[in-house]
Amino acid sequence: MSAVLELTGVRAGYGRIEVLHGVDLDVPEGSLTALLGPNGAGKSTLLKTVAGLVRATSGHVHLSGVHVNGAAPGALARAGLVTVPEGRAVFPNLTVEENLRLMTYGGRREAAVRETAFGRFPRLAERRRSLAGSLSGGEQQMLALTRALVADPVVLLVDELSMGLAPMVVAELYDVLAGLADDGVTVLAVEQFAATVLAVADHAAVLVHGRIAAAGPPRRIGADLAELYLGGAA
Amino acid sequence: MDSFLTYTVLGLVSGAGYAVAAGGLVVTYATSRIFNIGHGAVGMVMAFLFWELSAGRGLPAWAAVALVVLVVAPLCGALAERTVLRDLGEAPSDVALVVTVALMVALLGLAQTLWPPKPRPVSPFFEGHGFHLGSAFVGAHDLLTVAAGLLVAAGLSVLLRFTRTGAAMRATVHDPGLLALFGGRPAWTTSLSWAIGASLAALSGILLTPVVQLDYYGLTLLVISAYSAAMLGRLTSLPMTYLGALALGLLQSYTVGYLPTSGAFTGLRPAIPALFLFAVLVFLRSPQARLGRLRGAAGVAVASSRRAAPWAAVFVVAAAVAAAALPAEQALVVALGVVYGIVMLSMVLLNGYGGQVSLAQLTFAGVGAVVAARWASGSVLSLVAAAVVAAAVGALVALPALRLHGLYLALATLAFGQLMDKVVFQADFAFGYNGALDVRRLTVLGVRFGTEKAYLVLSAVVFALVGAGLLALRRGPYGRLVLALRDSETACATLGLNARLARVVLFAASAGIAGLAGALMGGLRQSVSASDFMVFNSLPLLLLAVACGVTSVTGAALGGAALAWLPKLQAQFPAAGGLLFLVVGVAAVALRSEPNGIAGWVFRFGRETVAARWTRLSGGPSPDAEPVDVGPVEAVGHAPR
Repeated sequence: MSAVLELTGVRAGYGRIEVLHGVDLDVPEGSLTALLGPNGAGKSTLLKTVAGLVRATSGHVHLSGVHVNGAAPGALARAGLVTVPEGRAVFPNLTVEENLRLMTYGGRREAAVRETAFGRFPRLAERRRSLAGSLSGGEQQMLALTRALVADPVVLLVDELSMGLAPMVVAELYDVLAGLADDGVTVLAVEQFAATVLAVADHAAVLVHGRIAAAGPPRRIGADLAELYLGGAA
Repeated sequence: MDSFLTYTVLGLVSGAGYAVAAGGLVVTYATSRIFNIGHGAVGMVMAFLFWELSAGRGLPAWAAVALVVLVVAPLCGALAERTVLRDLGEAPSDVALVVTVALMVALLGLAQTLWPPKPRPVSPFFEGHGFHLGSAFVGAHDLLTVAAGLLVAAGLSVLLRFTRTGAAMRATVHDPGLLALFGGRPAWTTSLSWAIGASLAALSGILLTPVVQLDYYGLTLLVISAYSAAMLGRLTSLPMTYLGALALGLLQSYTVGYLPTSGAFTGLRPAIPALFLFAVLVFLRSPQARLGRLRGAAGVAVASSRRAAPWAAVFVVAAAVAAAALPAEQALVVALGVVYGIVMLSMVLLNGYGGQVSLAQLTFAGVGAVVAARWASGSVLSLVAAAVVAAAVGALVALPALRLHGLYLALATLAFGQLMDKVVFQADFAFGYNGALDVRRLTVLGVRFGTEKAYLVLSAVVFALVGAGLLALRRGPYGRLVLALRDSETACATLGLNARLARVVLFAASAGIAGLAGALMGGLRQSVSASDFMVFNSLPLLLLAVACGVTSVTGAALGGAALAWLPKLQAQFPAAGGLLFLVVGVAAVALRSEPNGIAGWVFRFGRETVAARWTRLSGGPSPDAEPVDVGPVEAVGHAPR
């Protein structure tokens, strides 16, 4: 299995504050890789760097072998990188249908987008004319994930899918991600809520203080997690 | 009945014109959260450009319209967005407001430079064509305007509701980064919306020109009507905006037709749009302030009284020296600068400390001038009365406007200023219709301040006293409350602080200071008229205050001096004319990166020089560990998301 997403020695941060101090990470093709780590480890910054929202100050980001440092987020999105950022990645002031309409930048027709969305998440069909801001947290996250379903992504980045959601909903959403990975999509999921994601992940990596502290099969990582978080690996 | 039909047609036509302008406002606001005060000025400049192309350069009317509305205006709108307006929606609302005011003033300056005042008759399109509806004649131009109004409302609704571009336009205001992740182009989308906005402003300007003629201020102020219509639609609903525009057009037309042409109602007619705006603002529930959001802004160090006192003394002594050295007419200019500085002190309190923008600060000064002229003229009591009455008026404005925030409050003050211009100041108990008032110079404790020179010293003393008072206020509990309210009203509410009272006091105190300045100005000039206090003159005042530093007393002094000198410079170099205001507008825009204006730079420079000298003298780091020397606090609201 070759790595679709490859980070070598990536340093990035905000202004003078460096958050990532040289991250090396390979995400194999068609896998669901969990990126774990304590608060402030730099997980979200790592995703933002890959997505083009934060620019790496040094090191390299390769997507399918292409060097993408400094590429604009929109260009990356149109090239097949789907990012579902932290929080609810929907537009609360637009209706569900209008949110779906904005998912057609990937090239799918609006009718096809709706069909996929409503087929996979029937609850969205019931609320198609509601403002996305008025949906429940779970429904909003479903709407956000719809983009990953319809965009036909090469790589999917998901940040904190579980935030503020009931465990049952989280499990359902991770099943969707696992299904995508089975279809050949490369998924990198940042998560704090380790148990659920490790149950479905193919690989796992732990980010501590801006560096990858460990990477390997989910079971082994799960066992070492406490030690890694508390700084045993440092 | 016959005249009723005529007035109805007239009202519908101007209403349709307003609707076009209001549609542009709503589109830009919905996509960028910036309410463009300069929207009308864009329409004004474009109407002049249209005149230039069609009447001046002989282009056929249709070609000129197409060129202006479809090419020049959109390009200018997009350019303005790219250069000055980008990301302003995220800035504190007073910054965004001031920048669009700067745009407006700059455009006014531009128009007056490019097209110096002279009569420019404009005839309607297809003049003479039309049909009779009963006894009313409906011109082809009228039909065109109504059709344009309908088309714009329908077209914008379709764009925003049913197209992906429209959805993207509304999405980008919420989170441009997320739109980029969706694969959209947020930068392009925002530029597009400003292009559409400018284009609609141009169209409304061109369509309404035959109604109001080519007039810098008339066309610019037409948007007050557009503002009120857009407000009626809460800046989001296009159908409501359209209906509001029509209603306003009709209301205006009927008042022109049926109100008596003499007596108390004379002044009311031109003030209808302002009244309407004020009513809409006060009676409609204004949208909730964005909750849970910190709006920190970098302030300057507040000088302790031990530090401020020597500077105040230096200021007064310098004024005295200037008074002794300068000829009378120069002393007048300097004194005027100091008086303007006092008006700017009122803005330091309201805007610099309180974060509220008033677009009619000179109006309060006007109130003060009227009081000083009418009551106890020549005695100190007149100054006190001027301040008290102006403060009372300020409180009266603040009371109905209590529920308003930022933008809405600023618009309410604009409407208020407009109302005072047209109605109150023209009344017999004020300046009288196009009249002027004589103000006697002061006699304090038997000392008569009979000359400009004496007034220069007097104004400097008042400035120093007010400035010191402001600093004391800022350091005290009330100052902390005002600053806290500015940063987070929600947090203040959870602490049980009385925001309403604080806000009314803030407004009243600020108006009082302005009134005091007005009284001084009256005495200095000996004759004042309503035109000295026109609401339009408040705008350069606001801009200069912000550009020079609205957060500090030093900034007020600098701003006052600049405001007094600008017209002099303009008189000496007429060619520069409106260009000066253009420069001021641009400066205000450019300085948005330094919220403390020129004064902020001065302070920084001073600190650095002093620190460098200390290092040189003592061979070590500066021992100056006074707590006042903290640098600008990083703005909390601007932290990366």
